[in-house]
Amino acid sequence: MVLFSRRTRRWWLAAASAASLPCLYAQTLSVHRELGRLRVSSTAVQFLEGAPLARLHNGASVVFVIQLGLLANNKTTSLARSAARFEVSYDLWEEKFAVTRLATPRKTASHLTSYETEAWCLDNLTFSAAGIAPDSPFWVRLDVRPEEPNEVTPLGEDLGATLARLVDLFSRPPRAGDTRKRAEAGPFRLKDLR
Amino acid sequence: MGARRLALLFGAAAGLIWAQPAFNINSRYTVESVDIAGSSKTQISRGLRADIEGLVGQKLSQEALDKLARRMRAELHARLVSPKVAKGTQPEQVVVLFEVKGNAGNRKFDGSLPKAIYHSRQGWSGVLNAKFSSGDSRFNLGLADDGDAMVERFAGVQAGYENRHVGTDHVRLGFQFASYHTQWSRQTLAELVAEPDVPGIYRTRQDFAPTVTLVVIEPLTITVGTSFQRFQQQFPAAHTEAANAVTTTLRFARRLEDSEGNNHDLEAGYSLHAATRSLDSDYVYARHTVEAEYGYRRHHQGVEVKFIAGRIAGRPPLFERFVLGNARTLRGWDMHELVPVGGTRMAYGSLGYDYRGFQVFYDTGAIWSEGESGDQKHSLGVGFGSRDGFFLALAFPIRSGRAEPMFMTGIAF
Repeated sequence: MVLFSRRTRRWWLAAASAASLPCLYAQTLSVHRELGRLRVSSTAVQFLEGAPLARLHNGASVVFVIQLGLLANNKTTSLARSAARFEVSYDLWEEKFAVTRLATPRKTASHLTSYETEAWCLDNLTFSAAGIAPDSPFWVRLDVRPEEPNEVTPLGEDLGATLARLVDLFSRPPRAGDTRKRAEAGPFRLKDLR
Repeated sequence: MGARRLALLFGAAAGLIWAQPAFNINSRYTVESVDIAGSSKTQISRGLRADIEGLVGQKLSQEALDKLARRMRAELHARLVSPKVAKGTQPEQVVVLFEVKGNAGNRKFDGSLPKAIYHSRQGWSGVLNAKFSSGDSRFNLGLADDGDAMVERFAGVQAGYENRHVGTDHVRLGFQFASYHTQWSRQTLAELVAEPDVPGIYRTRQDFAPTVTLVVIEPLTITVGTSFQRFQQQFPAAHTEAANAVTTTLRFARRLEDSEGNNHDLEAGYSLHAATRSLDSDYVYARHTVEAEYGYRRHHQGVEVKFIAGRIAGRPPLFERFVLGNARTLRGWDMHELVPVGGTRMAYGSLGYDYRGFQVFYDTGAIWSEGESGDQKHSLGVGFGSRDGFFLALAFPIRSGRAEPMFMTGIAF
């Protein structure tokens, strides 16, 4: 007895693959314009949770690779990218988070709540608004991926990974158990932003 | 110019290595204690145990924890070892717990050289081991050629099986088998003629020793078992004899750190081999050995005091008799000259001082048999020793007349 035709099976497979992709949030990002640069904030994307949060509560630090991308209206053409690595740790005695941007110049903040830590990371990723037409629509995509404890960072890239490497990281298909998160919002127009 | 460029390159590389990120906010806290869950401290090597206990009193370093976790995982063949840090009992202090989970699914094979010694009088001695692990079971196969540990030089094969989890991590079961051919020094053969009460030499020796080890309360372990030794005597006519004994070993090993960060290592042990007719033994004897060792380390300096004493009641075969004057005891003396057929009474003490691995030591000891009086011997030496077991020593016997120094080097764990 054939339960599903070959075509139906293909659809089921496609649906299952889509379900295994990282969580996709709609309209959870907002974009602001400040001194010729674009700043993104999020109200719903929480990456300090699950296994990475458990590692933080066990006294370890966790490095998050965060990438913000500006996409054209077709969502396939990339207009701009900003990416960085952030090392987060949880103060066991003060029960607050501390975060360091692993780039030059290095920036650090401490005594933060989880929400403030996530917001601080996004605050430290900005785009130049130059080169974007005021009335052309664009989309914003946020990717967050915690590095595994045994993930080896090539020598010399510790203090701020190269953009090419970070792009490469997010270009790889997610593996089983991958805890990366993705959010997309749009379309936005530069002329509408404050 | 070339050298300058090389120095710059080296500096840049070193800078990159040192620029590894370490921005864990908890690194300002001091480690109060370290513990292991899911395994036992007695199951890891002495060096790793010392490094783990060395974390106490230091500022928390995630890099150090990760390195130790990797070493533990390799030694224990565990699937996962994750360091977990929690608040300590005192403010600004944290406790570290290494959580060991499961055995690695893959089977592991590795080789080791637990002993490789050169002694200027006894020559080369070595043991080569191949180990195969699968789950809680470990198999080992080894080759030995040792002229340093006993009156005889023995060479042959060793094989063993150990289960490190018999219902619980606190019970281990083991079987060891060894088959050796023996060689004897001229001095031993000559002395045996003069001492007819001492059992004679044998050409081959086989040992089968099943044991059960109980981890009573860490770091105290007790091993109980039996040793069935069969050996082929050559005189007056070739025949096989047996020395079957009940064996018991009690061991204690502990490292403590005082408030000033100085380390105190304490190791003590007692072992008993009791051979009885009820085990169908041709020899009846009870061999008692007591060992104690204390080490104190402050920064780059260390002092070590060692004491071993033994007594055998009854008439033991040659392989059970005590020796002094090898690479481990009464260094500087030649055991074949001092006690060609071994002794049934023994006392030995050693005092050593080292600075950054460079050592000076003083050994003293006496060995004799029942009805004799022990003649105390002394020796002095200098050497070098590293934490991974390598040593190099030159020892001088203190005696009147010509004193020929003994040179020893190698690795021994």
